[in-house]
Amino acid sequence: MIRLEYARSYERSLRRLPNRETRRAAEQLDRLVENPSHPSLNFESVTGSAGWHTVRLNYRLRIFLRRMEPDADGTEVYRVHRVGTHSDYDRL
Amino acid sequence: MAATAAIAFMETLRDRPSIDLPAMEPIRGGTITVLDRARRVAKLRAELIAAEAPLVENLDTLRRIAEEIVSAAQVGADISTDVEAAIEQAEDLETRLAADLKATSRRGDQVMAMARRLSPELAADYAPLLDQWRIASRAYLAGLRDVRIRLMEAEVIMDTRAGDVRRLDSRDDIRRVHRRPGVG
Repeated sequence: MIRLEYARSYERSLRRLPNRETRRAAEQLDRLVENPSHPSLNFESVTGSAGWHTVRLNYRLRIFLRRMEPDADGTEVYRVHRVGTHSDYDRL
Repeated sequence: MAATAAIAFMETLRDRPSIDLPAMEPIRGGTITVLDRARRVAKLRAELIAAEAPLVENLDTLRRIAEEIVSAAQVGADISTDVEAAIEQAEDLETRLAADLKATSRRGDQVMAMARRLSPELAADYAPLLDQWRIASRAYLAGLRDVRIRLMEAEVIMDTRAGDVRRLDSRDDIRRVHRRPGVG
C-alpha cells in the first residue's frame, strides 16, 4: 500500500509544464497508488541517492519522489517532490 | 549565500567543453605508421587526463556548495527561491552535458569504426581509452545528479519545517492538485 503526499515544490514544478504533461502526471500518480509495478511507471530508485525514487512522466521527464517515514499501519509514504529531467547517460 | 554561489558557479560551467575526445581526429586513408599511432594514443591519453581534472574539481566544489545549502536548510534559513533556481540550473547543466557527451560518444564510435578498418592496432589502443572516457563521463553526470538530489533534499527539509506538505488521499485529491484554472 502506498500513500502520497506532496509539497509546494511539486506544485511549482507543475506550473512550468504544458497542460498535456500535467494531465499525464496526474495519471501516472493515480497508477502509482493503484499499482506501483505498472510497466508505464518504470518506478525505480535513484542510484546512489537513498530514499529517492522516480516515476516516468514521458521520454524526457520523470517525477521525483522522496520516501518518508511509513505510517503507523506500515503504509509506505512517498512525497511527490518535483518534475524534472532525467538524462539517460547510462547509454553513453 | 551558498545557493547564489551554486547558481553563479554552474553558470560558469555551462559553456565550457565537457570531457571531449580531442585527439580522436578523423582518420583519412593511407597507412597509420607506428609513430603516428603512438602519437595519437599518447595525445588522447594526455588530453583525457587534462580534461578530467577540472571536472573532478568542479564537482567537488558543487558538492561542497550543496552540502552548505542542506546545512542552511536544516537551520531554517529562508532560501527556497535560491534553491529552486539552483536546482533548475543543475538540471540544465546536466541535460546539456548529457547531450554533448552523447554526441561525442557517437563521434568516438565513428572514429573507432574507421580505426578498425585502417589499423586494428590503433583501434585496440583506442578502445580502453574510449571505455575510460565513458566511465569518467558517466561518473561526472552521476555526480551532477547527486548535486541536484542534494539540493532537492534541502527543499524537502524546508517543506517539512514549514509544514508545507499535503496528503493525496484519493484520486480526486490528485486531480485537484493537477487542475489549473480553466483546465478540466
